[in-house]
Amino acid sequence: MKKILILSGKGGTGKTTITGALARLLRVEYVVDCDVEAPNIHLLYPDTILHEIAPYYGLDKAWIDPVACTGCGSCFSACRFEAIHPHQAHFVVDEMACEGCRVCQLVCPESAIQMKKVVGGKIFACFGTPNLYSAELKMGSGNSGLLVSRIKLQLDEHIHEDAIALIDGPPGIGCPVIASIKGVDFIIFVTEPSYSGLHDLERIFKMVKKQCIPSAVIINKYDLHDEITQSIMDFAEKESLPIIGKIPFDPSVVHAQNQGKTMLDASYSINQSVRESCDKLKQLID
Amino acid sequence: MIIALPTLGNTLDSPVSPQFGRTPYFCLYDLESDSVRFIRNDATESQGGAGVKAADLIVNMGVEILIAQNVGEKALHVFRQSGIEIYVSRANHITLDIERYKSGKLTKIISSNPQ
Amino acid sequence: MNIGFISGKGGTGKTYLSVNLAARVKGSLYLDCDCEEPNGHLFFRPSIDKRHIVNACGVSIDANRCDGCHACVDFCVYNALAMARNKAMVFPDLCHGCGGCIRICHMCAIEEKPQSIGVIMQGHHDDHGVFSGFLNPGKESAVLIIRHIFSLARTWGDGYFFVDCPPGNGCQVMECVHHCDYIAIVAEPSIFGLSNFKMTVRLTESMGKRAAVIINKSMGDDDLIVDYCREHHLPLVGTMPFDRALAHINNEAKIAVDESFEYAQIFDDIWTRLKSEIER
Repeated sequence: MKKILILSGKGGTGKTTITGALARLLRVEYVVDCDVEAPNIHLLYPDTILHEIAPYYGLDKAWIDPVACTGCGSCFSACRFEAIHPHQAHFVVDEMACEGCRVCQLVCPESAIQMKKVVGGKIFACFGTPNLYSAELKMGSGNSGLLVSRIKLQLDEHIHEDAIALIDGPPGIGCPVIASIKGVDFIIFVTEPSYSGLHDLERIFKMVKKQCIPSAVIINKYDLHDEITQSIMDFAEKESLPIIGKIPFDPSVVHAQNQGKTMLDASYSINQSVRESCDKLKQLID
Repeated sequence: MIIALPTLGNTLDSPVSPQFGRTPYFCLYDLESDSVRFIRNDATESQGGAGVKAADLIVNMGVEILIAQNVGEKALHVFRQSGIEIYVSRANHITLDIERYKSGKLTKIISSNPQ
Repeated sequence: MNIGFISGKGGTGKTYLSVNLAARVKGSLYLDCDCEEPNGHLFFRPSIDKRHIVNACGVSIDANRCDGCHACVDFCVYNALAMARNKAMVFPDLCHGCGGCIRICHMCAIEEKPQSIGVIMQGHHDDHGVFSGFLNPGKESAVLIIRHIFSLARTWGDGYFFVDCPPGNGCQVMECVHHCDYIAIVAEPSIFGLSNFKMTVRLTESMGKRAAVIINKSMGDDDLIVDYCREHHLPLVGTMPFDRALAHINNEAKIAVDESFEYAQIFDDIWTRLKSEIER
């Protein structure tokens, strides 16, 4: 299976929109949404119904037995995450702040602390054309990197197939992004001609570069600023990153999506530029 | 001498896993006694650092040779420190890869991305 | 008064709105808490007055003392430790700094060693303070940096603090919202925008914060967002049309309100309405 990841650094450059269009053109078998903090790709498939396939458990969280707790405060002073607070005569754990390290359990002289499993989110799927995997992180469940790894693990059940999976990545450069990169065969950076877009592309590329994963760039809304588009192309050339597409700005893209269509239905020029990007992508991944 | 391979299943016909840290099983082959056994990899459940945990497991099992498709940077670091040699799986097949190793046809992994 | 600009979805215009509003409010402070991809400094181009390195707890291991007992490796839930040739080794990128290994080591071979996870640039632009957090690439979470930005901001004194938050609805956003007195949700009138907007409204409601909504990139049909605001009794304090000329200025990382009187007027209007909602 070929796993292609779409990343951008900056949010709102069009990752999900382009993922949806490429999925249709490439007739991919799997589409995976790794933006677990703001999942959206299922909205491109209004007829599909996602069903929960597995709960997601994050790291266990500490729980202090109020009956056994003598209020000595050992846990309170040992916790580095400010997750334990005094409450009346004893102490309680703030589940949102707890990182599950177990140090409180280690120091408690009364053995009053237990580690408990907490549901931190859900993994969804819809089997059809394409097969869709998505997930939602429960509010305040902290680390979403593990959830990203979990959704991607679903793909490994189909590992022998000669199939393509498109993975819509999260924004930023933190733990969910690091988790989304692991094990992918190709990365597409979707950027836009703004200084912020370029700056973020440089930052994320610096992180990905070390891993030597073949990558390419798509410049979305390229005609919003010619000079910055040129700067992006210069950057790409310097880093030997092929530019596989330049897609113009067109308000009809948003309209098409709001009506449950993809950007391919937006306008002729959009359709053509996405097709071109897709052809170049095919050459690169084969 | 023990040779380890990350595998997708716990039978001899299971393919070699493309991942090291989150592989479901390891196949351990003892060269002297020509015997094979499989162990579960608990690291699949890890939030992060699965590669490090799996590497620690392999070191603990007294493995001297690892045959894998991919090994992450951190796990590779552990193996370097431990003096474990790593070879690239070419056949994606347990017995074929071991045969190839014996006849000296496998290449050593030096960086974390063999491609 | 910390005003947090959040959106769920990325690229809706959090930076655009917070930068331009901050630029119109005298003596205000701009706090860039999107430490994974901070961009506000590109607009303000502040003179840097101070750099604050942000350290997280890390550990170092004295190999001479380590007897290879494996207790630290077994304890660490983050898998930041491994054993090689009977000596423990640590991976600082995975360490959360809980201090558990230090406590469990019976040979006292492990000690604390701060590790840098990022930096906060403290600067100014005219009479505005500009604080930007930068997470080092490869580090997992910027929550500590965000916490530090707010504690630095407290030394600034009174006034309006415009907080540019990261996208998403995860732990970093919650850390920001926790420190904010009022929330400005930036919404984009698209099906993606609406879906993430709903999640963001749930988050602010569950954290008991008051909020107002600003629509950005309007193309004339904002019913998706407007209807939801009405149902949830959320005040709508501004609607920014999509405007090619404005986008051009913004893409160049220029502050729109400094470019023309007309743009300044638009943002002043939004600020007047936002302020009256805050003071209500």
